[in-house]
Amino acid sequence: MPRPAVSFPHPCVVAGSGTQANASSNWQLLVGHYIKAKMTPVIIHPRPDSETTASERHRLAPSGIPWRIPVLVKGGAWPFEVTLSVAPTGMVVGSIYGSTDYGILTWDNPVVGTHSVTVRVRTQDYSRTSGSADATGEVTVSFTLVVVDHTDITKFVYLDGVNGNDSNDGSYASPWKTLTSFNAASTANKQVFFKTGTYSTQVLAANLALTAGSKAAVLVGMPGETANISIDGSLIRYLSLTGPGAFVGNLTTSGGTTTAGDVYHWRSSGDRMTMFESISQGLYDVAGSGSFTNHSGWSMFADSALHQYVGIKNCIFKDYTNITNGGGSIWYSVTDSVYEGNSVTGMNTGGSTEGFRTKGRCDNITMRNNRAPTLQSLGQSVFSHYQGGDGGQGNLANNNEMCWNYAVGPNNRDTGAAAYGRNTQASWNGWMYRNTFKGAVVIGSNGFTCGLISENNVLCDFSSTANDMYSQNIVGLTVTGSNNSLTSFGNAANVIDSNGLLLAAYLTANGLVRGQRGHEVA
Amino acid sequence: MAVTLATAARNAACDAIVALLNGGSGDATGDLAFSTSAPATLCVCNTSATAFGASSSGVATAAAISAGTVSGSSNPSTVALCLFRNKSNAEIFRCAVGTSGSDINLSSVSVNDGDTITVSALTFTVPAS
Repeated sequence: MPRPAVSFPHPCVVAGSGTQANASSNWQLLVGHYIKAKMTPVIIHPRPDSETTASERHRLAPSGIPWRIPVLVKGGAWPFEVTLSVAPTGMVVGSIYGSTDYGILTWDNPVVGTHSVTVRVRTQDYSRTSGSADATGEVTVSFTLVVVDHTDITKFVYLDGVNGNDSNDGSYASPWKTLTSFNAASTANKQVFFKTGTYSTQVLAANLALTAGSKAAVLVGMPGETANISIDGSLIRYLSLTGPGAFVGNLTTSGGTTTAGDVYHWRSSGDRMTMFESISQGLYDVAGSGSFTNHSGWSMFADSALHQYVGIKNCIFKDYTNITNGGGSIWYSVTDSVYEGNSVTGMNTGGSTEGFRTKGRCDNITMRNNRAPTLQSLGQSVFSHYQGGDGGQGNLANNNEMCWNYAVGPNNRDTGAAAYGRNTQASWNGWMYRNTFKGAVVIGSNGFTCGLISENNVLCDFSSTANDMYSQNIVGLTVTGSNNSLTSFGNAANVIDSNGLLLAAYLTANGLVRGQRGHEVA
Repeated sequence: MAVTLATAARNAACDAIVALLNGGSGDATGDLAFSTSAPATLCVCNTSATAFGASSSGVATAAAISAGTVSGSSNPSTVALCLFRNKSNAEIFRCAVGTSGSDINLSSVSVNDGDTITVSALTFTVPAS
């Protein structure tokens, strides 16, 4: 009997649809559009409760007054994605490069209570760590924010330069008017808030000493208001800020001195020092004055200890005049720290001055995404990792990176856009990548070796071929010794626009892709 | 003669096949491994703990599938296949991937490291004949 014929296997069907989204459509850039981590990422601000004190800005806030703090990361493959894994209702962060308040934690209306916060930072290396110094591409930090009623005078004091009165008690309802009453009061472990007004240090008998643990070291301009601390006058009366855990936010400091001597806006020392969304403007001194020099808007001085977790974020240094020796910000004896998102403009200082300079022993420093877009009269480089005498910690200048910055400087030695490792010691493990520098870049000198990896910068408009300078390296280049020089681009106007972005015609003519060279994120 | 399956038989066959994705051990779920033609895995999208719902008229619809991130690409690489694997990463079945007229259609099959693949709809069908 015939067997029936059957047909197997049966034709099953899969029907599906989906999307492939380029990395560039979310926060991760395409390969070739970022640089893998040179240093393992470390969140330097905020730090966890185990390392900090309860009165620090990220640990304590007054109710109902908008709260803002930066998330600062040393090292890692930037731009990062910053998210809140744990946070109270209403606290947000700008997660992606280009978003509002990118990398800034904000809470417009803090509510009384104890609140747990966990911040997660993913770097461009996340899920693609091969070849990176970073094994995971992700770091997190958790801390506790305590919000207390803003009228609690045991935690918060206030100044109002317009409507305050020095006979008041410094409370929210009865603020002081000048620094005199504030300086005379006991404010240890308190935070001080400045309403609109100009606060002169000339009323004080000495420099204003703000030392954590004995005097308020968290100083904040009230959100939406303009508070200016002026040191201007014949008396030398600067702000001496000592950590750990000091914080300056939304404050302007201004002016200089007409008397010979050392002058600063913030002369600082200690661990966990943060300057955020603040302005240092109009600093000046008397030529030849002072014994310490390094007159600057924010200084970190040589010390018997190497200080950790210093951050300057989204600040403006501008319109200095007649500085003998110093600049916007000078650091000695600092490690694991960050300059990010700041600008240097309108400097007319001459002398031995610079925009930002890490000097003496400074290691594990990231100088990232800063701007100096116009030609200024500085005596030395706009941005630099440098070396010099450091009585506390020696002359090492290793493991520093300078990345994603844009600076314009003159075309001659010592006064260029950027410098690395230039002085009297060898320096190692330096990285200079994805910057756009118009003007001279000075690398090493004086016969000492400078170990620098230079990658994917746009360096242009430099005409000299003198030793110890570069002119350009639009493609990757490894520098293993000093005194390197390359052929110049010539006229930068044919290469970059007024924002330092590579011109479309230049990209096309040279077969280049936007977003792979210089500081442009694309 | 060709075999014609009644609806009950179609459902039984369909449920039995997709249930294999829930088996094995090691991973928390089964997955869809988007791969080159070799195949070399480029992106893994995890299924739900129960990968598919109960079938109806021989059609099982996938539960939520997590988006996956591309890694190991030659920047770019081309996605050609999708391997459906159980918790032990053992292949249960596979299908073709393209941009139109294929089994699974993506907006693009050219992928770089860091790209994201999202599966928005997926069914598995045992037809009547």
